[in-house]
Amino acid sequence: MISITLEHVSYAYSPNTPLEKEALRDVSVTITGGKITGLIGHTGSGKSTFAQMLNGLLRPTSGKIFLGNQDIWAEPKKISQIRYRVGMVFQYPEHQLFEETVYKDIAYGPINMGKQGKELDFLIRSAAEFVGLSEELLDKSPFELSGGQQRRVAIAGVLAMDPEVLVLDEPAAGLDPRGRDEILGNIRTYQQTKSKTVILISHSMEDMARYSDELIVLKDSTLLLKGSLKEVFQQADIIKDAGLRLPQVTRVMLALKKKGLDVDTSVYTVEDAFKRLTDRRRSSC
Amino acid sequence: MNVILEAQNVVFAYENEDVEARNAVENVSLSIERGSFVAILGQNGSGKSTLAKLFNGILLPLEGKILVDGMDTTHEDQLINIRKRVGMVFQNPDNQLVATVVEEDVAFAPENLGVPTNEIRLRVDKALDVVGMREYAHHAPHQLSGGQKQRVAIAGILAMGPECIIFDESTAMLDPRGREEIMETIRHLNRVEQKTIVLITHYMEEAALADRVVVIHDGTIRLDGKSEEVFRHQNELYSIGLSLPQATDLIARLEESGLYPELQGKTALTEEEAAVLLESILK
Repeated sequence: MISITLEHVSYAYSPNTPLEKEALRDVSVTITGGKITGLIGHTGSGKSTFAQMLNGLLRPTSGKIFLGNQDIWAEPKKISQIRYRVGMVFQYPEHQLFEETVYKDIAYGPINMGKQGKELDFLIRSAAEFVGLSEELLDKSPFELSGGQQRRVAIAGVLAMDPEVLVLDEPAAGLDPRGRDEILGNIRTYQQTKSKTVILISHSMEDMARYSDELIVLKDSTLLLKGSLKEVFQQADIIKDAGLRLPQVTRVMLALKKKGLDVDTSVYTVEDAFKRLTDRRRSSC
Repeated sequence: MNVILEAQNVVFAYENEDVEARNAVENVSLSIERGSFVAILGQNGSGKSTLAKLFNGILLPLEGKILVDGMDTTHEDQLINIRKRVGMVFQNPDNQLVATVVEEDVAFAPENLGVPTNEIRLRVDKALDVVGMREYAHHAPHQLSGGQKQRVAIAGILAMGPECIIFDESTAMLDPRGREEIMETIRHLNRVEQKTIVLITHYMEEAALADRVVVIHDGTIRLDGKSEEVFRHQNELYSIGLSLPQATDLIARLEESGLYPELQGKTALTEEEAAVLLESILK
């Protein structure tokens, strides 16, 4: 269960030119190993830049990034090794599918890592299973599949490299409610079964409430908050100020509190709110 | 006649699909009243975006008819009039903006329609006012947030003077504030500017703001009614991969628990409605 630590990390696009744009400023934070950390923030807050630094796709303009105890840029020539250890699923990853069959598409990453034979086959099949792709789909062309299934193929391609850390940028974007729950549920199961470290980017605070253990909040290129889901969501004003909104069910409880009722506002899922309100009824009867 | 969009027994299938593949839209009949605010819900692949594209003539029905303000979309000479009447806003704002300055982008469509210059000026200013982006008229689109870009895209549609605007998952790529901005803009367009709104979305919370909700599944209409009625069919919604807004879900579960008999027959569509219901009981 490996953690990632950022020490005073800054990043600027086109540095030392008139077009210089600072995307991250002096961020120091540790992503806890073996948990799902949600990364939230308004558009342009620096989330994607943050994510792309975790596996060395972008190199900090200043500051250091540690995977466990290892400075990932200590030997820049070996950065590709870091990319196998920190897997990255981009937004709309299904646009990057290209092979003739689902099986070959999932195989691409592990083959590049030098995997072969039975081990390769095992990696491919177990990755497919984690994302809920059935055996008979493996021989189909990925382009015959629905958008939701293509998304699973693309995620399986990263899981098949068996990375220690998995970074996913909006893995459920554009999916209907069931599709969202299935994909995020699969990621949760994968993370728990294999004790992986997962970083999840999403604009849906409802999804964050259900699937993440800890949260990192970025605002205007800086780190605003980091803590457990509860610690972060309790800061309702700061969350709002960061251009975000708490889950709708939390807003219901906050509205009740504002109306002068003594209710616990630290509920972030419908299940939690239901439990609090039914307990309250039972104890008052 | 007070109907602006009408589908009569419409069938549509995409080409090059398997022979046994079902039709994307299967015998759909639907009338949308002028000035109404209708949400269309459905799973990925249910046919809802196909229906939207049929409504402004991007796609043409294989069978049946689509009438826009009485005009048949298969009559090619009517297409320009149809698209002036019904505008579409898509998912990705970056794919919809063409100019390097906001006001030029908004002027793009009316210029192409041959609207006189002084009239264009008026339309652009009005459209930017309506979406609250007048102060950004001289900005470059890339300097804007996602929600702001999407509002500029809406202004570009408004400048064509449509009666109806179809939003095809227009909030899907936005952050929470951006989504809120767009939903506020949509409500304003409906209530104040009296535009007919068709909102295609995967967010139940957004659909709950509409007056009417149409649920499409496997190319056919499964539910159609006032939003509070449609969201009472929770089992059916869950069975086709949809869900309820959290506020609606909470009230429904409390009602079912038997511990809140006061909620019998009550529904909440928004957090305010849920809070008002619960306040009256818990006080």
